[in-house]
Amino acid sequence: MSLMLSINYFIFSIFFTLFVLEVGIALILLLEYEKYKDNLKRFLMPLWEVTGTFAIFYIVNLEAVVPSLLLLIGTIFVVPLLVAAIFFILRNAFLSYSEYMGDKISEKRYSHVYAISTIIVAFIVISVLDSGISGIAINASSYSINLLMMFVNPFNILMFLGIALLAVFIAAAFFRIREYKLFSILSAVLGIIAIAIAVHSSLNYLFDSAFNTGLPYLLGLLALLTVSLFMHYNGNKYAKYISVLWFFLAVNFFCFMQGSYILGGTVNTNNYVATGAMAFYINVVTIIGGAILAASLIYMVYISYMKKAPKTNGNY
Amino acid sequence: MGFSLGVHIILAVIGIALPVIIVTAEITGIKKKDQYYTRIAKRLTTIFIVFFAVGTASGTLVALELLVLWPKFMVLVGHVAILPLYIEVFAFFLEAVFLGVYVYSWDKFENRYMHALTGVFVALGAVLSAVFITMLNAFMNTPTGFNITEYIKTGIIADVQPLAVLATPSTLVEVAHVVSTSYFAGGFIFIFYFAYRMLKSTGDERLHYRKGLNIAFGLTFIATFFAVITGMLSISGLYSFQPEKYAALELDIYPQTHAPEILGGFYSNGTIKWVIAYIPNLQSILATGTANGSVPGLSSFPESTWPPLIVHFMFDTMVFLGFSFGLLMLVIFIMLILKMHPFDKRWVLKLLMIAAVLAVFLLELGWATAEIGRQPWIVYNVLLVSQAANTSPSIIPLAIFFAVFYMVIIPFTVFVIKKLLKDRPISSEQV
Repeated sequence: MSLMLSINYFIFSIFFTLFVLEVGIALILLLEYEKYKDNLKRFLMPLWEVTGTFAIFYIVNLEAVVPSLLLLIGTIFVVPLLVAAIFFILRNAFLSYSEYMGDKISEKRYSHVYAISTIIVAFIVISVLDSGISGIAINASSYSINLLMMFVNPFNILMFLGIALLAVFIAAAFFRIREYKLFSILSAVLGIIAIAIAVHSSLNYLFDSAFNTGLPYLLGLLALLTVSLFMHYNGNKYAKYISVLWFFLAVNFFCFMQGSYILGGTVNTNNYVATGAMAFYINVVTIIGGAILAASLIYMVYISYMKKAPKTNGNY
Repeated sequence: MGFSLGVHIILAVIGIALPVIIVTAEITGIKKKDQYYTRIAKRLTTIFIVFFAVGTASGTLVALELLVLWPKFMVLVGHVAILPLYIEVFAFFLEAVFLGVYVYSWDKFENRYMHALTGVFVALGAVLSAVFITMLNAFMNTPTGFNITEYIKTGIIADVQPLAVLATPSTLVEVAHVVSTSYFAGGFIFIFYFAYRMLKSTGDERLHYRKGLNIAFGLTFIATFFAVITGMLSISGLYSFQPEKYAALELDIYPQTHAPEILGGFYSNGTIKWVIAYIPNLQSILATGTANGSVPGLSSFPESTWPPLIVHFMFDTMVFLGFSFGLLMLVIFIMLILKMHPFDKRWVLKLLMIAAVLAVFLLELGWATAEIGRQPWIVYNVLLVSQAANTSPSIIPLAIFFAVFYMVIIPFTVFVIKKLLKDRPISSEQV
């Protein structure tokens, strides 16, 4: 697999980890708003825009990495992506509205609109990705798609359920929600089983490679998950970092087992990856921009979550 | 797509101008130990977050629309001109990350200038985003960086020079014009806000808005003059690099020397009607520096590639409004120098509010003129709009829905901002 595609998968893994964490937050906001909203929002407010920007980062990087595939992607997924964009606008708008609403009723209502929009975006995005990976509902030769089949097929439903269940676990571990301790552990196990069944039934080649070339990595992931579940069960404060790291590595693992193939293994993206001078400059920009981004994010995390306010009278 | 862009442009100019106003207010507040300015910075930050949230989402929508509505165009961009779009993502990151830092760290710095510095990065990220996106637009106007002849003949993209797209013949002037007009229009939106609030308030509150108006006016005043100058340079650029567009804007049917500037007029059935005035030689002088300089005419190009000639009327309106704004800002500036206190006069405030509405209209008009003037090309002389568009009928209901959606979400955003500012009186704002 080319370096450009590997970087693209890496960017996707970061985006997807942040996004799934946000889906978990959305689910908890819907289920236990009063109890956890302050804790959730304290984390969410500085970070929500970073998730959105990583989505754009992934899309533009994809445009740079496989420009020849854009005609196919753009034509096939026009409707679901535009519908997702509508809910993405609602997600952004209502989160910011909720943050500054003086009255609690509006704040709660707007937070729920944000949460529902986020879950709908997640469902559409996961459906698009599933369809792109598996080729289900796509007729590549006529550049067409059966939208109903794209959303409603066993592979997609199982994948979405699996990811949603994992989102509950990640969010519960990250925010140390003790009431959901057993439920979230069960969620994680069921989520993995759902994804495994989905992959086995529709992406057999991926399943095989996970148990052959990817076996050491797979065993490592299972070990890390066990540690993560155990730490979460015991209320260890580092469980949140381990669970998020585990999810990030799991997404990466999935990407690399998928390799360069899309549409159910019928199209090899390596044949479409940018080459020559453009590839060189894209990699240079990614490295320099990525370094600046990493430094900025570290600074943001330090200022937002770690740095304490100095003792002053608060006036200028 | 046009509707989405039309809305996004307004949100984008707010996103570009507002952080400059906020940071200026904060620094002024620290320097003068004036809590009014600090309050302005804090309250405008609240407005900024809401606009930023909607603005970035609509920006994402535009990015997606580019992919799904113009897939063939994006294939060309992906092979030749993706670098500015890609670098823009990092500028956007800079803005988004530092906005998070800026908003949630008011009380975390002992040295208050350090907090203001994080706002500078927000402003920098915002303007750099505009710069890189405009580079892509400059590529659409003056394509370069690949073998165009080969592409037109065979459709094969060859001899790609990725860096060439960062410096096309029109890049510098176009970037300068877009940046200055963004500050101009964005600044005017806040002139409107402050002028309106001044008319509605008294005493301490009025003083608060008056100080805000000072900052917004200062930014807009500087931007206006850069916008006028870069606008004139843009026309010279068209003369050199897009002669067909130039001829359409000037309504030059035939190439000629001693070309007059045609004010008004419509082209119909081979003749130009309803001209307000011809100013002898002026067009030749402006375009070439001499009265006998030659200007291009549309007759040199096939009629099938002429842009809609309504652009001449749009162009004239734009130039008229542009110079009127220059004059207005100059008059108010002179009044300020002569200590005539223009912002204490109700008629000046009302005039500024009318001007602000016209400024947003001018922004949209300028963009529409530039884009319609390039028709029927999406990439000038390389790719037609009709070749690049996704013609799937499934897009039509979505397009209608988007238009309705924006008509709801934008007023609702303004309503929310109004409500949240109302719920937080100026006097209760902690500084």
